[in-house]
Amino acid sequence: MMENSGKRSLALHIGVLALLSLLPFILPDYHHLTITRIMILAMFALGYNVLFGYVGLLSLGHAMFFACGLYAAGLPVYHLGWEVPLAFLFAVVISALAAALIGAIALRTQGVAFMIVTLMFSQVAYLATLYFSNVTGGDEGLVLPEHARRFEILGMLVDLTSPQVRYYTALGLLSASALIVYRWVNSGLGREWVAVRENESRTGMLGYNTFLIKLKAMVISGTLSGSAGAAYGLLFAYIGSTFASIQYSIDALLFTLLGGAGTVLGPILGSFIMFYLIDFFSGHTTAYLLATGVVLILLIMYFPLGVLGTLRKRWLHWLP
Amino acid sequence: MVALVAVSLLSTRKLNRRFGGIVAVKDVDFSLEQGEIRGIIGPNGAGKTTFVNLLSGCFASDSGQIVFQGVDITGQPAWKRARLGIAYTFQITSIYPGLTVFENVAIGAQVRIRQSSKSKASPDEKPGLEEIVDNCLRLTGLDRSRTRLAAELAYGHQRLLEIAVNLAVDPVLLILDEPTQGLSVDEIEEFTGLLKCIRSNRTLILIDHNLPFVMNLADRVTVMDQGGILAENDPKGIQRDVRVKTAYLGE
Repeated sequence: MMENSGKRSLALHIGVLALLSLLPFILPDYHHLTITRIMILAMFALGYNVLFGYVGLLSLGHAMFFACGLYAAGLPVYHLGWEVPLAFLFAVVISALAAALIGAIALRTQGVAFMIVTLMFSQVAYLATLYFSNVTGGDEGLVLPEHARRFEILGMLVDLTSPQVRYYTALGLLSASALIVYRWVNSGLGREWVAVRENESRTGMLGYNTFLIKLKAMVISGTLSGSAGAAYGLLFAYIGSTFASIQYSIDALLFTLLGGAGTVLGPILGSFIMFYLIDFFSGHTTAYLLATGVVLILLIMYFPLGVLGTLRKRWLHWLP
Repeated sequence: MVALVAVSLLSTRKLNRRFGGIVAVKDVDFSLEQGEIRGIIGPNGAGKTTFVNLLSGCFASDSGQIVFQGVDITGQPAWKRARLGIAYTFQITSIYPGLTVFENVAIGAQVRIRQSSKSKASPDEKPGLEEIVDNCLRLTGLDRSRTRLAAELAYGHQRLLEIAVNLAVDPVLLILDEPTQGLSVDEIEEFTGLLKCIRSNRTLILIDHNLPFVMNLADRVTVMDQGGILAENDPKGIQRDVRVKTAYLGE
């Protein structure tokens, strides 16, 4: 029975990703760009969900990791003329280091204190991007130069001005992240995460170093979020301090809550719902944030565990 | 001639812990032999739970020394002590209510697998995760509840589950804090059977208010009062001890 449900859930995840790969053939052009953005933000939320959904740590500062990747990739490209792939790898490494450093400090706190400490760090990062505006471009940001719009990898020329190329690059990154998270969640590592979330003191008393478990999760979470940031900057050739603002930290939390914290597909679904809700209402009314708010309240009332979390509890127990 | 000394599994020397102005544990010298079942009894507030919490690492001691299997563990955090083989079941049941019974025990089993992967035994001899979990569930009679959520179990079964989770770790020393609290007479009887069954390769410390239960199982009984050790003897000796009678069993 366990075998069966394992296969079923893997099939579902691959099915969702396959569906995403077919969408460009079905949907009009307008949606291509939107979905490309959503997929990168979904990757961000996926990283956020590792920490929030599986380990149970609510961070209010994940925008700093997103922005860290964004700048670590964008700045060398802009100022030093780095190639895109190298800049991306650099951003991944820097994000991991930043997450380890901030985790080592912030994880000494718990609960509300953890939320505040992460928020604080994130505000520092945001203000730093404004303060050093001669390097970062501050509020106005920087548009990446022409040379960063195309690069060669394995003898293949990749043209980032093409919507198709951007779409499938984003999908590739999202799929890779989703499958990695899926694998980890279903391994001993995922078991440790959930054990810390469900009962940290018991877990420590069984012989687990819970601090180390949380730190590892923080690094994984920050690295995924940072990679999403790097991808965002490089795909759309723009880096700016808005991405470091609190709004992006809240977005990651909202996407995750909406889709279902502690499910692999939840953040992806949540990103899509949220994005299209705003899109839909902003086409009809200027009070689109109000309308979106009402929908969110209804969702929380009827789907308190998020869409997928509630589905899992009621019917689909096998969902990871 | 070398004197033959009984192998001491765990010993404490002048162990102290205060909470504000209250001295919860005071200059306790305690010694536990490999393989024994030790009962710890005493009136409420005698310092029993604080004392075993110092052993398990839940609380740090203010002064004194704890030696386990020849290693000074006084300054070590709880998770390190657990890896050395000290397991502790809480007075208030502490399990993973949101997870299935299987997953609960699997979390314990995973520690053991990690530990054994460091040892040199051949892979064939090492039990797999499912095998460990199934054994522990069978032992505690929870095998029928394998896929149920821990929160849905009856109270007595939750207590058994906590034991199963700890057994999965395969501890050297298992400390049980008030294991029979809230159990029915039948359940206590089953529980006694379980402990007799698991004692073969383990050392147990048993704190309980249920005296017949303790006297029935324990090889030796330590009586605590006002943070110190009042008496220590075999169950019969304890029941005859006048000091114990006045302090605890009633005048």
